[in-house]
Amino acid sequence: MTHSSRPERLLENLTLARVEGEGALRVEVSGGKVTDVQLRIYEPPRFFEAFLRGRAFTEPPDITARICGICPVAYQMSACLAIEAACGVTVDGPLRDLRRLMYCGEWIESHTLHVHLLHAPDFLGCDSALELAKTHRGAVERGLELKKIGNEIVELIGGRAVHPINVRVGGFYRTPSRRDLAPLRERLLHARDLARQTVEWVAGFDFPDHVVDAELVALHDPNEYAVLGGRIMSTGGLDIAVDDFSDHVTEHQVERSTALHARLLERGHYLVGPLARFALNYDQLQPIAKVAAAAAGIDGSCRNPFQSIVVRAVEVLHSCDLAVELIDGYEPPDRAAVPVEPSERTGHGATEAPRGLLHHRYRIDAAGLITDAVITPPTSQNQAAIEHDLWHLIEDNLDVDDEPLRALAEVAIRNFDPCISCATHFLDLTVVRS
Amino acid sequence: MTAPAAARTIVVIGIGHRFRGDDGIGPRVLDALRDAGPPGVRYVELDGEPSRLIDAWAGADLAVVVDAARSGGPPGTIHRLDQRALMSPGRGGAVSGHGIGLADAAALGEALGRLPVRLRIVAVEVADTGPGTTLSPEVASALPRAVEVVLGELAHS
Repeated sequence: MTHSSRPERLLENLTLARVEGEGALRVEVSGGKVTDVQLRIYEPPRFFEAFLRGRAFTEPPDITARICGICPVAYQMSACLAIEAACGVTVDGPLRDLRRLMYCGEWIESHTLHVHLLHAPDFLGCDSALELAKTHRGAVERGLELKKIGNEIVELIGGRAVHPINVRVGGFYRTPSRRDLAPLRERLLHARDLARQTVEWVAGFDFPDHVVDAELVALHDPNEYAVLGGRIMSTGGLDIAVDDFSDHVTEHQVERSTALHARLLERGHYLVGPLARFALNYDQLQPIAKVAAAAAGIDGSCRNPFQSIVVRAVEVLHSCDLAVELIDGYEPPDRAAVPVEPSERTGHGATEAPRGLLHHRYRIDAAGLITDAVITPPTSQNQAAIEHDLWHLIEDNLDVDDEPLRALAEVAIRNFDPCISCATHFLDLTVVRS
Repeated sequence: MTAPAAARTIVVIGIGHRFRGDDGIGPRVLDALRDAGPPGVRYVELDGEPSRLIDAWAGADLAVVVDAARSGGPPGTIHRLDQRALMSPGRGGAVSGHGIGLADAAALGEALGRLPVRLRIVAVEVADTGPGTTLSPEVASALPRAVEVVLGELAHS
């Protein structure tokens, strides 16, 4: 990204609202062209990979769950898969189904929050979720109810809704009975109706014409809409094993951001997330989700990031329906976890977090301690592609005044639902004294 | 205030992250209250995500929210706000890990008719929210007082 010393137009201090974490966008325009786009992430660095060194191989699911309050299940599952791969263990059958069910809960929660409270206001001329609650109360209530049902899945299987405590390497500490899951099934039938309404609702929004110029990357599994493992594939023909991820992706530091930028070797920026999953795995969606997608006028050929809100809504419907199917087919396993013995090896694991591919790599020593950990979250993979997308979008809209252009850029960033960090929460308080 | 105590629903919500220094003050106050608080009170630890916050307090007669605050005042200072003060202009701005702050969550709850009958906020001014499981000396020494303030709110319910 080149710097010009005196841009003729500068859009600055666009502090991002309704994204997960703290970030800002800075755009420079000179000679009628965009000369610089910087998505700045100033969330403090978090050093999770360093925390993990020297810890027992059983600890990453609990430690990495703390990286994110919205998608802790994703961190737990990628950690488990990586460590199990290192130790030569495969978790399948009902334990794997329970993992998928728990993951459905997280997708429902995370996507529903984004669709209803963070992104929908953009398309309905509202400044905030609050304004939306006043103008579209029914939709917001539906979103909160749907999200709550997602919470209930994670809570029932994970032991609690935030940072679940029941996940371990090899499986779970305790598994539910069929009777435990029965009330959840009823709730999910209700959720499925709500999710169908949500798809219809968002399909009616107006979307700017825009095509994202990025290779789309996601896990692919011929037998299911991939979430827990698979091969890493792209719209550009990439087809690699999860173990080969580190050979194909480089992460590098950029001054403006405390998140690393990821690039595909020989290919450059790329995009993970709902749009990528849709592009690569549309055929594996639950039939009910495909019907709803078709009615909404969207399929795997969609490349408009503004329509990712529709894709998220379809993925929520898919998750509700899949969760019912998993409950119907559930037979409690003989044991809550497969025994896992440490092995002096490196293991890779990847799952589809709500925001996209989440890759973990751990090196374990003979004593079962972690000697090296590398976590590549979706937002750091997407950062370069988001900047690239904004560059084109802003260049196509340079005739637009600053304020509406800022607003458009902000919506465009939210298209990718960046999760900059969910680590801290503050009541930012101004004390007014008279 | 005429309903008998047993019929009233009271919830204390601690917001914060235990691994981020002083941000853990809300959960720490909950720990102390679980030992020292009156019976019949529900304790909920949250990360501040608005929909869970609204779920936690909806239908309660009294909800006391304990949170970390950053207003520029001396660390350890305890702020007490009621719902009206929280939602007045200039307070409780929307800088949070989720783009929606406590004040906005309260406003959202109000718009949806899902606020507790009484909402009280006890916010402790923080010094250091870097990674770590300990509170700064200023905030640690404010902890007993924060617990007392919450107990006071419960006693006056």
